Amino acid sequence: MPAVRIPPGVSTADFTSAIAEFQRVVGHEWVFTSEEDLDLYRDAYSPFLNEPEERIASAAVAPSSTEEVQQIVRIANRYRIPLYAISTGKNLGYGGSAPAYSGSVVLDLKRMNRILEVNESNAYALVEPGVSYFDLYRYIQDRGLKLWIDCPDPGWGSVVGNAIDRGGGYTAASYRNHFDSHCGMEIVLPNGELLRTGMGAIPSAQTWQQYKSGCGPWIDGIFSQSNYGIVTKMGFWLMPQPEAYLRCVVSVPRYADLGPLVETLNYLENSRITQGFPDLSSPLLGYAPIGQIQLVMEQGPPPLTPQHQALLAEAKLGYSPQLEAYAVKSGIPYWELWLSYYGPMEVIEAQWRATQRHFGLIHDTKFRVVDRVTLPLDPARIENYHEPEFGVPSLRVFSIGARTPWNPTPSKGHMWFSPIIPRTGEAILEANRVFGEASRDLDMPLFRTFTLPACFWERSFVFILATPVTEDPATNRHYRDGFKKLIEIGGRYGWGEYRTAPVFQQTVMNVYSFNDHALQSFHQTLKDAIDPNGILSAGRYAIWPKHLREPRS
Amino acid sequence: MAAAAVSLAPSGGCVDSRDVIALPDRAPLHTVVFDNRYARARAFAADAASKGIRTTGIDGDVTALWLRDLRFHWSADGPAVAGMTTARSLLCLEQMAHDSWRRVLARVEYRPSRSTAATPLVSWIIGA
Repeated sequence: MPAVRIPPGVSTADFTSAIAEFQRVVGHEWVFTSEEDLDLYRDAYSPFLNEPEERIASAAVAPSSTEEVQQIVRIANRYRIPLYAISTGKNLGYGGSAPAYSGSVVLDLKRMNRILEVNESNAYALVEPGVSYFDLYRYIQDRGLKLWIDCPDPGWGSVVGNAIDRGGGYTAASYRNHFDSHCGMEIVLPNGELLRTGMGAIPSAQTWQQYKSGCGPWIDGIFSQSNYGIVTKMGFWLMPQPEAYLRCVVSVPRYADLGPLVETLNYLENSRITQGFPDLSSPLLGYAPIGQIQLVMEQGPPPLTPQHQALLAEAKLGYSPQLEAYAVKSGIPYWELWLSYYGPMEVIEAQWRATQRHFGLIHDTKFRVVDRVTLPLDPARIENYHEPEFGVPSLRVFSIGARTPWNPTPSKGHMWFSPIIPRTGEAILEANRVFGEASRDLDMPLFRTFTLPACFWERSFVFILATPVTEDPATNRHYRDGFKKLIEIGGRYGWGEYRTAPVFQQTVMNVYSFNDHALQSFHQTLKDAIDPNGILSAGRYAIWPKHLREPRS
Repeated sequence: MAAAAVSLAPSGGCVDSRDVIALPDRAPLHTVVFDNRYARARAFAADAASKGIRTTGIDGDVTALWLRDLRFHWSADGPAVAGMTTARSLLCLEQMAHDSWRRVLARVEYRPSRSTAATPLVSWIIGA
């Protein structure tokens, strides 16, 4: 690995001076320059691991307060030191704690881990970037507050960091989109100035975490997936602890039922009749719902008869008349939709009845209730469930490490391929056709069997598929190249990623090319105005400061 | 932290000590974590226990270990933690340890046999 320990374009003298000034601000013990310390800021899932192109930090600084962040930013401006801000650095699969621009000084915000307020009555929290989902969960539990968080899986990351990268979770629709459920931010701008958004721009504001947009342009969005500022506080709306939970399954027998199944789901979700995480699956095609994947990986998939296996091998885009006939004869549903409901039992039972009435319009639909529980759950029982659907952060996903017949090659890590597609059955089939053909041509390990999208977001589907990171640089290079081509192919069909690792951010943003890349031009205009010295998180989501910008070919 | 040249051997059996971490003789360890799904990890823990070292079994899921023990232990600057687990469990613990600026000080991969069907384990020490 090359020793890029001085940021490019910075003299040794300036870097040494900057490090000394950082140390005066935060204390010597919180500035890291040794190779051993900087190993903590490598991306554990880097697709360039141990290759020359691996992004590495030149140093790391860990401030403990907003005021220290401001001072560090001013020093960085003086010496033109590139910084790269991280919260807790757990964004594995999307870049982790490594900078997008090699040689940057990582600004590690982990020490800023105060939970500033949790308001039970209005169901919100205000936190610093170093607060993890575990921290917030424990805070709420320890005080017996009747509130839920919404967390990703694993739940090890930062509440702020995940929201800023526009991650999602598993509970009710209003809370699953983590950026959407935020309310109010405090930001240190690249010049060191402090800014509060929304109602927070009023001194002594009383509704900073209660009304999102304040007055005038609502600028919060520009601080997500970007490099226009360092978020030092962020408010979130939390879910009141529901009284009860209902988990149900809708099963349909035929291939062509997928379209009406999705259309009905859309109506029910958009009408707020169902609010929990909808989980599409196919028992016939062997595609487990996300909420059951842990169990499948631990216990193995249900065994298939030799006839079933043979029919699957012959199916095209998950279909053949013989396969469908087999499904109908054997009573194996083609598609299943797992739905969950939160609220008073009388309300969610009524919502389930309405759900059945609507899905019942699809011929031969079957319904079953998987679980009906009053909340809170007995902690001793939580392991029987997919914990994030109850707002409980978990690390259980890492127990899937064993080599098994159904998981013969556990990978070293992965890169998430995450295109957004329309919320229709037709789009699922089209995406499988397009990406399936492309993956075979590119020899990529995605879409080799029929693949269903996830329903993290309302109004759209997203595929979140793991491309493995291996120990072999040649394989990793092959997968990186294939990944980029899949991004480009998706773009031709109007599908773009919602999030991606730094190595792919330029490729992804190139897809957003309407009107000769007007969006990227606008990003650059903002960058030049807000961060003229280009010191903050250069390259993040392909937003480069002027001095590092390459002319577009 | 330097490791002493003492390796743990399961009682009554032989072990190739190149395949497991050599735990220090008298240096304090907070606990030895072991994945109780695997015989070799259980043996590793049994030997640690026979030397008076506390052990903690997991079934691959480190959530409870983290929530009830390590998050307090690492933030309070406690002594090193050792273990024998799958690589994924170690990855998870390594990432959580970073929050307290702890790191993996040593790791040794253990392959139970030449068979590619067997799950490799890793013995490790995490500390400051």
